[in-house]
Amino acid sequence: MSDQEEQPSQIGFEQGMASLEAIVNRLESGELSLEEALRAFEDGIGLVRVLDRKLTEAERRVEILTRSDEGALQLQVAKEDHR
Amino acid sequence: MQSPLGAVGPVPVLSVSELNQRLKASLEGLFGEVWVGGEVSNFRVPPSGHYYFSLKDPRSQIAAVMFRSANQVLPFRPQDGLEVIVRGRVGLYEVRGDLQLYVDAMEPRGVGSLRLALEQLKQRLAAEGLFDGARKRPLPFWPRAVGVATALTGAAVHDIVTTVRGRLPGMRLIVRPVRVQGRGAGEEIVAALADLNQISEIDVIIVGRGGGSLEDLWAFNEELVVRAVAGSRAPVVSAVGHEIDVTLTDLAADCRAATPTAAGTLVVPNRHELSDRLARVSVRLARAVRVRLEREREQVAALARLVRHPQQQLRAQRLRVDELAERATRALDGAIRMARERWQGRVERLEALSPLAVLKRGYAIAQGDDDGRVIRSVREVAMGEVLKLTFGHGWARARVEEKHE
Repeated sequence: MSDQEEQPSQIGFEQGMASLEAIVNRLESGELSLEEALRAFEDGIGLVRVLDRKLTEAERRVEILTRSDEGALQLQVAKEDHR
Repeated sequence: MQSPLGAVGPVPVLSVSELNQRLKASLEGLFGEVWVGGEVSNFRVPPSGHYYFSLKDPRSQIAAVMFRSANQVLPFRPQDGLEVIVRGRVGLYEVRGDLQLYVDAMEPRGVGSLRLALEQLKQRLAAEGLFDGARKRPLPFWPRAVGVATALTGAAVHDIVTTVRGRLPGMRLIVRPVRVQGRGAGEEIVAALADLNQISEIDVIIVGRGGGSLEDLWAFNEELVVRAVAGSRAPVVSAVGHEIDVTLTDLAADCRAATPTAAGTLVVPNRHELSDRLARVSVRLARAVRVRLEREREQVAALARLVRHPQQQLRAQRLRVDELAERATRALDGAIRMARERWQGRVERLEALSPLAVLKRGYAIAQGDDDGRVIRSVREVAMGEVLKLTFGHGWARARVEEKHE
C-alpha cells in the first residue's frame, strides 16, 4: 500500500516494546560500561520515539472493499459518515 | 347357483383392486386434509429420498410418508421420538392395501422448526469439531488492518469504526459491505469473508450485525457461513449483537463479542494504555542512565581525592564524563519534551529524574566525604563530620556544626 512508506518504522509495537524493556533491564543491571550504557540509552530513546509515533499516528479514513462489475476487488475511501 | 360364504342370493364379487379403489376413494372423500399430532417413530429414508415413518400416540399408530418434493423444504430433519404436527391426507397404498398418511407439511411441537433445525445443525457441526476450543486462534495484538463484514447501513459498522478509532486512530479499517439478513445474505457473508481474506494486511476480521430476532440472525446460523468463519485465514471475531441466542457463527468464530462495540475493543489495543506503559519504561530508562552517570561521577571524584598526581589523565577522565553526561542530558531533554507534548501530566515528569536538572534549580546533593553515601536525613550525619556537597556547578566540603530534626 502506498502509505506504508509514511510509517516511521515497520517494527511491531510489541517487538519494539520488548527491545526497549531489554535495554532498560541491561541498563538497570549496571553491568554496562559507561560508553555502552550511554549507547543503550540513546538506542532506548530512539525506540521511545518510534513507539510514540506509532501510537499517535493520524486518524485514517475507512476503506470500503467492493467488487467491480468485472469481479475485481477494489478499495475506495469511504465517505464520512457511514451510518 | 351357490352363494359364496352363505350369502343369501347372488352378490357381486369385487376384485381386490376394485375394493382398494373404493376404499381409497371413500377415505379421501371422508377426510380430505387432516392435521395430526403424534410422535415420529421408525423414521427411515431410502435412496429415493422420501421419508417413511410412523406417527403414534400411546394407543395407536399409523404409517406415514412424506415425499421428497415435500420434505426438501423442511428446515429440520425428523427423527424418532420427535413430537410433530403434520398436515396431510389419509390414503390407501393400493398395491399393498396399506393405509397411510401422506404428509405434505410438518412442524415440530413445542419448539419452532427453525430452532430445531439450528439445534440439529449445531450438533452436527459440533461433532465435526468445528466449535472446538483448540481450533480457536489468538487475536493479533496489533493487526496491520482490520476487516469488517457487515451492513453499511446499520449501527454495527458505526459502532465498530468509532470504537477502533477511539482506541487506535491510525488503525486501517476495511469494510466489506454485505446484507446481513434476508435471502442470499449467507452467500454474501461468505463472499465477503473470502474477499477480506485476500487482502494480506488484514490480520483480523469482524463479522456481525446488531441484534435481532432468531429469524433476523438466521444468516449467521447457516452452515455455509459457519464453515466460512471456521475456515477463515484471518482470525474472526463474531459480533452478532445478541446475548440470548448464541449463533453458530459465534461458536465457530475465534472470539465472540457480545456487541459490535465490544468487537472493536477486542481487535485493537488502547493507545492510552500503551502510552502509559511506554511512559513508565521511558522513566525507568532515564532513571537507569542517571544512576549509571551518578556512579561514574562518584568514581571520578573518589579518584580525584586519592590520586593527586596524574592530573592530566584525571582531567581527561572528567571531561569525558562531562561530555557523556551532556549527551545524556540532551537525550533526556528530548524525552522530557516528548512526554510533555504527548502525555501531558499523565506521566511522571522525566525532568524530575535528571540529577543535573535538579541541581541546576538550586538543590545540592550531600554525601559522606569518606564513603560517598548519599545523605537523606540529619540522623545520618555526626556532629563535626565532613560532607561533600555537589551543586549544579562544582562541589564543596562542609563540616556539620549544628543538627536539628
